Amino acid sequence: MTRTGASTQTDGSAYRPEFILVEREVESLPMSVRIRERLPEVPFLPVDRVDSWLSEVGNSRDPLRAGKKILYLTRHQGQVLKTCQGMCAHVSCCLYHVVDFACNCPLDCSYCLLQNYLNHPLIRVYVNTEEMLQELEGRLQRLGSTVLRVGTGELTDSLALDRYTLLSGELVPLFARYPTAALELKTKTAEIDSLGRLEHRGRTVISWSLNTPRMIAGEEWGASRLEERLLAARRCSDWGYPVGFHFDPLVWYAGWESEYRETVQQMFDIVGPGRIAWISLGAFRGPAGLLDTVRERFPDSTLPLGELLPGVDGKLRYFRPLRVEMFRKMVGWIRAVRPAQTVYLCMESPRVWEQVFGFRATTADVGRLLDAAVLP
Amino acid sequence: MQWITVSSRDLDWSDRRFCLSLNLPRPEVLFGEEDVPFPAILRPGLRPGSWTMVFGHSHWSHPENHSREWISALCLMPEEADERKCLYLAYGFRRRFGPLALMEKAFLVRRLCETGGYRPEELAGTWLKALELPPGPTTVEKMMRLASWPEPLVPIAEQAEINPAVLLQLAELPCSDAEAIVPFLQRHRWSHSRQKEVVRICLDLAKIQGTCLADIVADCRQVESALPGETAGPERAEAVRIHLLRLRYPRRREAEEQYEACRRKLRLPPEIRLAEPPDFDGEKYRIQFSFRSRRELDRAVESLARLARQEELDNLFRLV
Ligand code: SF4
Repeated sequence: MTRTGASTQTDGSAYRPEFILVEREVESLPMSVRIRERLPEVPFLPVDRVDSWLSEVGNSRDPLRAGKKILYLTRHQGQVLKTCQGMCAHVSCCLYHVVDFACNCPLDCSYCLLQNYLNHPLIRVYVNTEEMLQELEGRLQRLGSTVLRVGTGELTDSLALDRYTLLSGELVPLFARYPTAALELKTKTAEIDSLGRLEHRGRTVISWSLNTPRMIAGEEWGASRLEERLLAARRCSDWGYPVGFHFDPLVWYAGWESEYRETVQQMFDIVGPGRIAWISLGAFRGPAGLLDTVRERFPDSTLPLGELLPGVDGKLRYFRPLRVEMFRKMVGWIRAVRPAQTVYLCMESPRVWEQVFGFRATTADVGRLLDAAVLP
Repeated sequence: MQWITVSSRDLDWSDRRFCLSLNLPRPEVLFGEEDVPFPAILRPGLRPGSWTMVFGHSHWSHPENHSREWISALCLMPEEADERKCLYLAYGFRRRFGPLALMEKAFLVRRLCETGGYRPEELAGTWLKALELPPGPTTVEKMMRLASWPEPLVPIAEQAEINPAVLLQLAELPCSDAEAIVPFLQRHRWSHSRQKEVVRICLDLAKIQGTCLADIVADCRQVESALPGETAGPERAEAVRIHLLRLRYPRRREAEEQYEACRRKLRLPPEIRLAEPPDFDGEKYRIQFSFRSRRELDRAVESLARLARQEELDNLFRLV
């Protein structure tokens, strides 16, 4: 491969693309100009089509990894605010909404669903941000007393590109103006520098996906280490932001108990329980095809070795008693430090809620729980 | 050197004779110092300076010969040959003789690299696509590894009719593992989807237990030897598969055993069938019964009423 050589990013150091392709039509939009200015040494190439790049990437040893080295600045089409894809009949979900300012992620987690979901491997950044923000604000203005929780981390890491897009500088003050809206910026990085000076009024939750150091080192390529994430959370908390944590995916492996317990302890030790808005728990899960991808791309990953079975929705999950055992223990360790901590399960059935918490949560229950955790 | 000219007119697919016209300055250019590597007749072609290779009826009638030899023919293409011509030939071959088996494709890929002068990355795109293989350099590597399997393994793999996706997977294994699993697949003759499942489980178990495939296969042998001698092949294969599933999913197996124990204690009459939720993931059991008279219905309802009073039911409910 000539245009996309081996990457040097192997740990939590900041992501830096090797090429920026920009659709001619959006070349002069302010966001394109901003990204170009902030990455002056990266080749910036206006293109009409990306086919030749896609075929070059496609012929590389690992097209998904190769595609992550290219930012493709393009226009977002369609509706800006969408409901989270987790919403389905079999699980109690949290009534979350998402806005995608980018599609695909600079990090490369072995378990990432995007691997089987995206139809091309470049990192698309939507640069018609002004239009998107306008549409989003229109929705926020019409909210009235309805509560809306919105995340930007469904198809990418919310902050991994922030040093180039400075998008948080626009989103955080926007949400600060609407008392019934809450923004969640979800990340596995420590890219928080631009957040310090922003007017947020507690309307933005900065949240981190957490895992044990072993899982981070083995399964979350390009992400920050546990301690870096927790120190970043501490700083955000000091700036007055509510913070959130997502233990997702919880992975069952020999020694998981002591290592997750220690991780929970470390979270409370570094961040302190005071400002944690919510903690979610999600056991590793995914469509059957994902495991084939994990085996192919990450042959040393231990994820596919779990006792994973297809559930009623067709997704593979740990055999239910194993999940329940993990959730109960995690809840126990968390509540031992902070009994009133808001904890919820991600994409689990009312039956699992019942086995873990003693009540069958409906989607509306979970929504209310989280609204209460973040809104005054 | 533009000396291979192949067009649709050059290929004669009629009557089991295969002709390929090659525009050669002289026959030796094609074969060099070597002998003709397959029983083909080379004769002057219709056009000046062209030669025609004719593969005879008898030769092509041996199915195990034709594709190998065809592969040899393709591999004699010089570096300068237009890739599209090769693809055309591969396509033509496919139409005439059916799809190439994966092992044959593996030999083709190896010969293209070793004799044809192609670099692996040159084969990773269009070539693999034409051969209906997943594109990318790793496939080329896997094919090269398959082609270098030791000779005794190749016919076994061919006889076992292994799912091509599985074979590609096996290509990544050390040869000793392939030598253990290929005869295992040949012996049990699972369907393609079962092969995929069995191989996946064996590989996972080897990782989980920190052992090699030969050990897993040996363990299955023990299960087989415990079966009654008259057990038919398909039942043997199923017993082995179930054994593997139980090793791979121990907690599920435990639940299944508890469920079976409960069911036995409940002593359901034969006309009542109890079904657990699939993989114990749902939360409801199902009961089914059939009847054809009022008397049979009464009997079933009585049995159900008795069932509902049994304490053992609580153990059943605890499982979901
Ligand atoms: S951070 Fe999220 S979106 Fe990015 S690779 Fe990991 S799982 Fe995928």
